[in-house]
Amino acid sequence: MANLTLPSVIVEEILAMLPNKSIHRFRQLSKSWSSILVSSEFHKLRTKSSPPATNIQKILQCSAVNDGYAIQSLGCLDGGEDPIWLCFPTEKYMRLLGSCNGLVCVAVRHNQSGVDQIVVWNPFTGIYRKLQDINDCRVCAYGFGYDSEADDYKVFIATKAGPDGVKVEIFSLTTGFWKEVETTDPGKDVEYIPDGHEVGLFLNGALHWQVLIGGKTKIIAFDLANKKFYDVPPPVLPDGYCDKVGNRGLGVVGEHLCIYLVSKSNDVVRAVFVMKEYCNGESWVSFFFYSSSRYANGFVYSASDFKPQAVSDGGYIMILLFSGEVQHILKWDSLNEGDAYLNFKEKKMKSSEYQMAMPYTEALTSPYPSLEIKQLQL
Amino acid sequence: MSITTENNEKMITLMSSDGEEFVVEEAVAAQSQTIKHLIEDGCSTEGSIPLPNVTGRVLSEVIQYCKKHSSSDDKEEKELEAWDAEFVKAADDHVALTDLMMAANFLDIKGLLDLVAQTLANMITGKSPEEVRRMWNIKNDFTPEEAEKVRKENQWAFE
Repeated sequence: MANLTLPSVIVEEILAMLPNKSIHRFRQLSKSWSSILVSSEFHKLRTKSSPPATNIQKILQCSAVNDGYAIQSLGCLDGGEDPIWLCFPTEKYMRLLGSCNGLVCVAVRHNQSGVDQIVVWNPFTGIYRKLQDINDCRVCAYGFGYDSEADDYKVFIATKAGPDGVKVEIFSLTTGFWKEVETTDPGKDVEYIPDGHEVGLFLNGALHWQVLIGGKTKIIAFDLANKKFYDVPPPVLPDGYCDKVGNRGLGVVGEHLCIYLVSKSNDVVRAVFVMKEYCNGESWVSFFFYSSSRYANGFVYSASDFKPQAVSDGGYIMILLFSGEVQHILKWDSLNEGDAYLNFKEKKMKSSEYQMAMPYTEALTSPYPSLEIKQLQL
Repeated sequence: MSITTENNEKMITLMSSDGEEFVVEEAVAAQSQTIKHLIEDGCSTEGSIPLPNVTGRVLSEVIQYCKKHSSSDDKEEKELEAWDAEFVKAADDHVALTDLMMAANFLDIKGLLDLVAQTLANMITGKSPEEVRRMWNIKNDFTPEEAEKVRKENQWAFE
């Protein structure tokens, strides 16, 4: 009988050739196989021939399909790549909660009860990690981001606690625990937490929201490292644009925070401003105006119907646009002022159907950052 | 011992773990990075190169592969692919393939390592974890609670 003790180098070489689906199954095989399969080193081996396209933003779309929900990659905005399915359609309702350095945070609805399973997933390596269940009905705000001080990825969840209270909890991918954030200024912090299942936008180590405080729209942020809320200075709005919450939206394009506004006079014209230097109120500049007549017939009401999401090196901007009965993912050519659909297979979504999109990057980041090869923490 | 053939090819003698000797052209043996370095370090001048980790049966297969791959050029890629497919098919089962892979790893023959790794990967792709454990006598070292936790994690929403 031949010696069948497999050295780990041989196991790694064999597993590196497996399709993603089998990788998940073989995590059940033994501790050493499991720890190999989730390590970033292993995925580096898997991608030796085709390394991930770092820093190129691709578009992730999560939408209703015929028999459920599905996540697809729409490729990068500059083109040259066909859309691909990243996971199989499921009947389960899914939402994207955030994306950062190759990791994507997804909420997957268990059943009709409103309880979500929070999953951190790397669409490139196919490795995912399931976190605790969350009752969505109680959630005010979600967020997902990277804390560079601790070199850790964090899931942020704010839930209602009592009639006026809010509880903020943070899950650390490194420690594997949820931890409640102690509020230093409870009255202020409660005001600073948005309501309505909002997903915070990650930029510069912090999550960002737009909230209404004392009748005024404010941009607030939560620093993932020091766990504190702070204000982000807003732009001085030009004449002709109203500053009502419904007419103003917050977004991130590239490395910048942006706000988008609807003009008072003509609902079809949209203006987008970016903050060139983070937290410098003087650095807000007008970015582009969107006035395509293509959607003039659709009745566009509010800024929330129009969301710039990503910008490419080639000057393309991805915009989620709800126009009348139809939702579009638009690729807006800011240089030539032209646009095109980017929806998967050009499918137009009815507004009653559900769809969301956000940029993501291909990277080998593991959802199990503290896991060394040979050591599996259970 | 190093001899030379009529067409001036330098010959190398390789000795397997069970004492079998194989005389091959240097160009064939040098497909193995490990042997190539040994030759460069002058280990081939005094008698045969001992390969303590490789049996004669496995070594003869490895030499077959190296002969084919040192005599073919890039133009014959399609033919070579077909030959590779036949070659791994002849190796028969996962035990022989595992031995071949260990040898390819020790001898550092990248092409052979990848070929056998892919073949073994294809073999286990459709198998259950239990079937794969049996193939290589791998011990399931999860406690029942740990196994349940990993199993649950594996039930991704999309399966």
